[in-house]
Amino acid sequence: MTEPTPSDSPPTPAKSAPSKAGRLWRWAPALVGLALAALGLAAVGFAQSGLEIHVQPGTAPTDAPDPTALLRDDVATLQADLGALSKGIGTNLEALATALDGAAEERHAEQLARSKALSKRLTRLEAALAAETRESARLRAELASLTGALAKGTALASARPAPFSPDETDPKPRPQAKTPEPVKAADPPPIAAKPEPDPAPAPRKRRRGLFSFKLAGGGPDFTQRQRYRVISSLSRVGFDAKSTLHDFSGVTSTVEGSFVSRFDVDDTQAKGKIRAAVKDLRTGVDGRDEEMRKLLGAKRHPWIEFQLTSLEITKSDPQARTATAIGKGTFTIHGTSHEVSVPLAISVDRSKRLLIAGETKLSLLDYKVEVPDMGAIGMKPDVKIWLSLRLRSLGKAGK
Amino acid sequence: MRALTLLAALAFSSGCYASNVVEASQRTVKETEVVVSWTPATVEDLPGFYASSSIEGEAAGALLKAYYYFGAEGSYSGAVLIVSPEGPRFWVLEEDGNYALSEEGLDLNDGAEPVPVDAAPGKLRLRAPGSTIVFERVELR
Repeated sequence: MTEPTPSDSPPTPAKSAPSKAGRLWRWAPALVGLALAALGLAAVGFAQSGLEIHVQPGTAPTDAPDPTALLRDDVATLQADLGALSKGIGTNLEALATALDGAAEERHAEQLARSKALSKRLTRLEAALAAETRESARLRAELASLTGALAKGTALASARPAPFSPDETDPKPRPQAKTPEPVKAADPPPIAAKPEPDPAPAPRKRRRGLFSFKLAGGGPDFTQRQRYRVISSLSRVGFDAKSTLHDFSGVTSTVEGSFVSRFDVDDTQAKGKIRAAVKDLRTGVDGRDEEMRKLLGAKRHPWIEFQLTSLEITKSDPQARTATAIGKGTFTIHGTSHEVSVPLAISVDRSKRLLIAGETKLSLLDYKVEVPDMGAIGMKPDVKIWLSLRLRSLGKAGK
Repeated sequence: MRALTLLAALAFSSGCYASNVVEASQRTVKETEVVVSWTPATVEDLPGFYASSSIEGEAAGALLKAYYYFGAEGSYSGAVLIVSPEGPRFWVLEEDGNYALSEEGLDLNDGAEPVPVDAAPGKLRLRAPGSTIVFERVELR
């Protein structure tokens, strides 16, 4: 049994039959009552019969497709597509794997070849670097020697061995450096390559052996103006005097001083001062020494001095380092000075020290020195002043 | 009378003095040559601080002074005062070197050949062709 639809509702009474309507209206309550009674009876019966009532939506049109079927079709389609896709993926993956394997082999071979090339290049560069390092060290040594030679002067460099010459600086021969191969700008730097041990040692500071200093700018050089300093312990200055009874000498080793000069040509710019201590003059007789110091005024004039003002060369052999000369200057004794000329012999000893020996005569009277005179016994005023000096060259003068 | 006596005494006393004029050949100071008994140095002779006392030969033209310190463990350090074109200058031969003593001599690993070395009490003598340097041991205080 279905519920009545709106189209099943009873028709509305027409206004054209008022008599029937009036009668119906009069019987209406009874009819309603009957209807309700019938309805109640029907409900009781229905309840007792167990009849179920299902409410269903309106039925669809019979020509529409079945959604379940459609869904089933869609699922089947998707399954087919998925299968095809899976198959395609598997095929593509296989192809991709194959392709990747081939590319990897190619790349491996390429990388291997590149690595070998880089290794060779690195080896060349390291060899070139080692050669450059050795060449650089050699050039530094040469530069140092040339600098020294330049400082010594062109004239000296042409006549004498250059100071700090390369053979003295490095007595062991060095291998000749090879010219490094040119480097292409497009080549990548071999950064990734594993560095190999450096075959060339790091450049060390310049060293010299003790005996490599041979005439390396030292020792007397007669051809240049050098500064010389007296070696006191190896020098002596004295005088020879005559008296009525016997001759005697006075000697002192307390000598000091220095001078600047050259010995190959006349040197009008020679200058220096040599002096000897009066208090240390010794004649071999103490009483005579005491008297001599009084006569020379040792307290007021403690030094006998010779001031060199020029050197006149009479003979010179710069190679043999011997010369004779006239040393001109001022001699000061007892506070009194006079111009003198002292003949000198100049040479070099086995320890490369300058030897100067000379003597000259003078009168003590010229220097206002009182000469002992006791009539028949007395000292002659003329004395011979002599010197024997050893000096060490301190190098080229001018600084 | 008194003056004659004094003069006679002076003459007599002066006559006691022989002539002592220094001959020209004797004016030069003679360097004292001390006889030293040199023997080949051993490793026990080297350790110590030395300063040169005598430099002869070609090296003397440039070397004014040389100093060496030899350690007992084989290390050494050395310097010299040389006459450079600019004047006397110190030159460090080796700041931190190692020496070895063999039959060939003292090898200072300074690029030069080993040099014969002799020893005497308190002294060392290094020899090279044309040059000899004698060192005196100096106490470090």
